[in-house]
Amino acid sequence: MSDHRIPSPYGGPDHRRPADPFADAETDAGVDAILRDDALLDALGRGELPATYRADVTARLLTTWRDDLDEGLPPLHAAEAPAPVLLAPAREDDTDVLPLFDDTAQLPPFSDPDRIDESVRSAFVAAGYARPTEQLPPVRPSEAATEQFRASFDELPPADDKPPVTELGRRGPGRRRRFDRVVVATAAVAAVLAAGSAGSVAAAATAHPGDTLWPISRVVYAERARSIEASEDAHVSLRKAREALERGDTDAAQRYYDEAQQKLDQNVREGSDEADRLSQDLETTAAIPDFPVVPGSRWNPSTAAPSSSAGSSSSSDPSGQSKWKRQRQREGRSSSQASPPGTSTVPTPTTGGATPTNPGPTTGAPDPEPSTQSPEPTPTETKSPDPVPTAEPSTGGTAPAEPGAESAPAE
Amino acid sequence: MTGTTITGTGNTGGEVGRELDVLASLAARSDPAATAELLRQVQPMVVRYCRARLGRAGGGTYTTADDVAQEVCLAVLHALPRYRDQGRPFTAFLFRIAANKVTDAHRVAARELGVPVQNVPETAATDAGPEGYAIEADGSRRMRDLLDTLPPQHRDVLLLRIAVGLSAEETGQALGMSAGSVRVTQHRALNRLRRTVDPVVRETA
Repeated sequence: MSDHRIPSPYGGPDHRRPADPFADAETDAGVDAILRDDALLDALGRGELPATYRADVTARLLTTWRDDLDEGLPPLHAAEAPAPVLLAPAREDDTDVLPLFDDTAQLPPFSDPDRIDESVRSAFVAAGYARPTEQLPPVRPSEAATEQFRASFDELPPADDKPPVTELGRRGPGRRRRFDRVVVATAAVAAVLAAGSAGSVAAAATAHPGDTLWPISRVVYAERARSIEASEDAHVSLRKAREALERGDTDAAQRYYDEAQQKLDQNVREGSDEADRLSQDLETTAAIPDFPVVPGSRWNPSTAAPSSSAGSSSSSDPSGQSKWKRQRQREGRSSSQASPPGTSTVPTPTTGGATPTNPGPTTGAPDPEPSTQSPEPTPTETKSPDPVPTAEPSTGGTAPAEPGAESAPAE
Repeated sequence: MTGTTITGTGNTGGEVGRELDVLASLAARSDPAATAELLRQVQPMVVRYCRARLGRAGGGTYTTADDVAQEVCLAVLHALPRYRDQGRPFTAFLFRIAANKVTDAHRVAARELGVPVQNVPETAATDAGPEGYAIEADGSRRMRDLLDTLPPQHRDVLLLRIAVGLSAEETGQALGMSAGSVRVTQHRALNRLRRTVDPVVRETA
């Protein structure tokens, strides 16, 4: 196992074939060969054998060896499966989602493979492994590449079995760039896949603010982190809304609620845990009996109009997702509101109309206040601005205390 | 971050490496979560490295190699408190430990030549049978023998690139070379393999 056979003398065959692109890594032609080998090893490292290398016995042996090493092990890149899942929310209609991907899309690997080629080459030049491109004899590399492909073509018994290879083999020097592009593009895709998946940043993927890995998560899973931060902001807004409600400041409560709703619609990822939690929080907040929000209030027309059309319009609409979500929340809110106000709307006309300034009855005190505002804005409009503030000083201790007592369990 | 790292061919930008560095320095300060995550990420790499170095030693299974890999993981865990971010990447730290453990295993294997017993103990073979096993293992064993003919540096580069699946940059970090020299070394190593595999057939891309 550990016996070291002396490697066969290196260079013996080289001198016989000075034109061989593999002859000497330090010749100019070697740069292309080095880059090809680099791409090959990248592929082999992922457990793949590129189609172009099927005829290469060494590459095949290396693949066999590598597959054998994996016996009984989960595939190396399966551990990184969470990464693709995380990237899954990138749908066409989520245009503002995943700036991470936008960054990647603007990268040279996709826009201009040749630039990569040159950048790596220039790295080699800088490292002294190669001469600059302009000093290269212009014809040689292409000849070498063509020759190589002929050689690989010669090895294949039936010429028709491998049309791509033979085609490449027949192509003139002008086709070399195209081949390079394929190699570079493959390598670039490989690089992106590896970088995306190489993470195995699974722990960071589940980190939350305050966790140790949160800084990593913020950098690596920027989109998720942004979503979580937005949802936490929204939770804070909702808490402020509830506090404002306890103070009796319905306008502020409304404003904070709208803020949270907007964050959920715009900044929180669809279907994520934090989105679920946030919409639940929104529902609980909206379910607080005093809560002024009703499906007809001022923030709703904007959502009510699209949601009414959302029923008929298909999901081809760009904002179809959030519409669905809004509608779901609206339904959830109206249903959750339907039950408590359903009991309170009945007394409204009687108590609100007959005895508006009569919060005296202990049982009636919590009910009339929300009911005067929530179910029917128009009739109460005349008295609601005044009666509520006037009623509160009169009931002083009871009225603010009761909603507080009620909203406390809701939180 | 990704924007700056994915700029070269086959460049995963040492992103894994840098992440490991972060985790390792957290783990060195005995952060349990970071330690767990670090070991979780490191373990498959170590197992592949040990398997590649040791092969199916004794009995045709990877048991020995996997045992060594476990020892490596333990050793890494023990050595972690001593790991300080001194500018040397964690992968270099990791594979130095792994290489030492593999060397130890080689020594042990050379030392323990056998224990004399009166009767040959019989054990049941649970394998697929000699023939199937031979067919299956032939290619990989041949490759391993070939890899052993390479100079250690060439072998290590190929091993980290193919078996562990590191990028050229990461391999360079782990072995203390530049990415460029990794690319050149791997190219030469491949050429040697190609010549040895078939000195007559001309090397093909």
